[in-house]
Amino acid sequence: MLFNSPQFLFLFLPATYVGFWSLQGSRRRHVWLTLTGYVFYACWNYRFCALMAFSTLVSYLAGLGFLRWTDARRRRLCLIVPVAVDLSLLAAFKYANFGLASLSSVVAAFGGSLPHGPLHILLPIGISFYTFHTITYIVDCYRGDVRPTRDFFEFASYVSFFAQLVAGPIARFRQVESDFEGLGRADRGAGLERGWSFFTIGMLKKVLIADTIAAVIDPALRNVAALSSLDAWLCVLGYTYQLYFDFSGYSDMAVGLGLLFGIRLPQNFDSPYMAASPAEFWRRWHISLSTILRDYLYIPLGGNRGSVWTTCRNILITMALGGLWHGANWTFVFWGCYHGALLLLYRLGARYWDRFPRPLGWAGTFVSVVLGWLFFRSTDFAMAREWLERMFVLHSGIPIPGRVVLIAAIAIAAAFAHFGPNSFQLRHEWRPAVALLLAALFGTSLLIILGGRPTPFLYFQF
Amino acid sequence: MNDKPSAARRLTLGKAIPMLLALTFVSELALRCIPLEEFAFRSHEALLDPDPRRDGPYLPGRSYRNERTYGDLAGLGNLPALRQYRRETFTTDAWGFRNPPSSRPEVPAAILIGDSFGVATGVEDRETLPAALGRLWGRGVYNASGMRKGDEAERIRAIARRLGIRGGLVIHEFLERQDVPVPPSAKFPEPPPDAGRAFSDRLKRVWATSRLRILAERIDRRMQDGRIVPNSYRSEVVLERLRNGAEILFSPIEIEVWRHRRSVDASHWRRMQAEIGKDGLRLVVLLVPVKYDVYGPLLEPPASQSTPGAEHLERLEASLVDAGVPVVNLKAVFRELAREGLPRGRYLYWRDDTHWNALGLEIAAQELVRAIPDPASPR
Repeated sequence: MLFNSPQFLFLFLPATYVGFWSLQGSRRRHVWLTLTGYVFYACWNYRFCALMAFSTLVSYLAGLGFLRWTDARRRRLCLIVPVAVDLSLLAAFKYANFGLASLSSVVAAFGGSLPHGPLHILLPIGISFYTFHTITYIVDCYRGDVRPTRDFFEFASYVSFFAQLVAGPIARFRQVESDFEGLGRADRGAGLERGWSFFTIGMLKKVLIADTIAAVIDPALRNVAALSSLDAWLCVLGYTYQLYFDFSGYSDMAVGLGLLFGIRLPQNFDSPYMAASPAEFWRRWHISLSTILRDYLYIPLGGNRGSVWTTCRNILITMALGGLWHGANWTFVFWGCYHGALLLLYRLGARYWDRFPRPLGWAGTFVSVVLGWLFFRSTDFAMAREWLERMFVLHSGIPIPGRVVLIAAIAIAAAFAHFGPNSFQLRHEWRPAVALLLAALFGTSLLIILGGRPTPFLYFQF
Repeated sequence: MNDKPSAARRLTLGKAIPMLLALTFVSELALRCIPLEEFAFRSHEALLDPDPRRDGPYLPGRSYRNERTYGDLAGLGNLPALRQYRRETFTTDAWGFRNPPSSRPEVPAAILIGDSFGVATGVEDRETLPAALGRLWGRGVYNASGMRKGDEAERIRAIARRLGIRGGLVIHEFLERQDVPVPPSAKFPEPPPDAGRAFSDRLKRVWATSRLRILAERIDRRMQDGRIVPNSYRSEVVLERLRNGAEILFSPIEIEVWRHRRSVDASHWRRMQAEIGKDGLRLVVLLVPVKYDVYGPLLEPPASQSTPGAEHLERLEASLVDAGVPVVNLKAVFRELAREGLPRGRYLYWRDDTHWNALGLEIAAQELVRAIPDPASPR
């Protein structure tokens, strides 16, 4: 069930909302949110509910273990076993076939072949997100950054909270703990205006901008070899904005939904395309993931405390794994390494780079990021190579259908992304005329949703 | 001075968006008071009945008339330029099957079962297979096509008893695209009724018949004209050109199925023959080729005929003959007549539809009558 689907808007959301606010007390509301979270998840594939329940139970028990035991050995066991279980599930469901395919290529290069072909494994939607919820909880409990909860449904409702379940933001337990604890005292009116405002803005970003761009570039990218150079550039620029408006739109909707239920989810995007350096970009893009990678991978690896060499190694490992987290494909790994290389170059030359006028630093960063998205969007390296070749060697071709719409959408998206405030910079107190305009645009989005086929959010596949 | 702010000044998103959602929901409910016929572009969408308790697939006792209906493929692919507009009158009986009130008082001599080809969507009531057979045989034929899933033989016997048919003929129209049914056995028992599936189907039907959705979809399709905005529906169909230069649409699923070798086990029909034989009913299977099988060789360039699935109907026919089940295979005669009719622009299937047209139906009826001159007496 997608946030931009009629089932969600007209059935699931009203029922969940009414049920939630008609129940009194934290306990009942935790149970209700857990239940609705599983219903939400079951709409994709009910069989995978058991997997999420298992992951939740293992992490919850680990939390109880931390409460019970104080000796280092047992506490380490409570850390290693559940994290290993969670990572094994992720590896089995998301990366098993990728590993097999890669191994098969290596074996084939030496003239051999593997006895087993690809396994028939379905990827449970959102597994990358809820696994990170549970892992960060376990690690935070181990480090003493968070006190483990004894209330199973408080924890289960945190893991299965439908707003953040399948595509983030990856709110750490410590970031939302007080809201989940105080659900019984939550005030329905407190988050109403901001909640609907966030939700509306997210919906407009997704349906009116991201989907409009997707409607033009998706068919065009099915045959990259036929693109003219102009269209190849338009497609990569279009995808740059599509991804941002799609994912930040989803995050805004999630934040808005959280507020409607008294839960403040963290900011996930802080105008990333205004960044003037690669390091700044990663402080602004998918903040919940990049901070997790920093706190749970980069810093434990040693961060920048060692030599230049170890810092370089740590950055590259972190970014390569960050890339792999996005999908079981070498193009994602390459994209991660590419950003790792950008971060390294910036790290080595920051004192020169930062002396540039800000517009120059911004332009350099933006072009680098755009080129990176080309690999992120490509299904394989052959497509990426063809696309790059189309961009940098002059090619003519038949204009793609919808080029005018694409240019207009890119112009609007660019104006908002580079010059407008982001959702968290807005006060969300609209003058009636603006509220009316936003409501009218929301109505238009509803019409599009009703008439078309809801398009999945790009980050669902990760 | 009045301190109360006006309604406009009180407007906030926190009120406007829930109101908008509620208003949309109410509009949806209100629009349901208008018959679906006013919104649908063809009979199948207009009259389809979600109630699984009825035998027939359509709303009972209804008559749908559309002066400008067009093909399912032109609709699916959002290709208005390829629509072949035609008139359709579609009448259902008290059990939800397509049977206009008959002028013949006598008991029907035959029952037709099958899929949408048997129902004959997209043609007039007088052009359906039962109507054409009725004219040729001079005896009524009852159209029970689109029967709900379940034990077909049992349902046929129930219909025959209801109509008072004894010793008549049962024609099973079987489209090449369908998978050969497997009779229930110890290994594959009849699946129990699935309440969850039934509920989900019902929900889907409720959504499919949403007037608001249909209206919104029309706007969406109009916008996706393929010039200003790319037509995302285009990939739902395959557009080819015939040797005479005319454009023709196919269903990609139909092409895919036609290419693959599939089972031709006739035991389902052998069992059905035995079951209905208990009431003196006789079975004949009418094998109908898919459009791609008939027009594939007439495309420019012609479709390859050396695929593993190309001989499916011939294999199935042989299997039925071996099993002692009477069979009429339309493939050869359809291919021949399609080739002959091409220069004159005479087709057996709608070019914008998966289904056959009135000419195709007439030919099918003639072939059946040639094979079985009298439905009342055994061959």
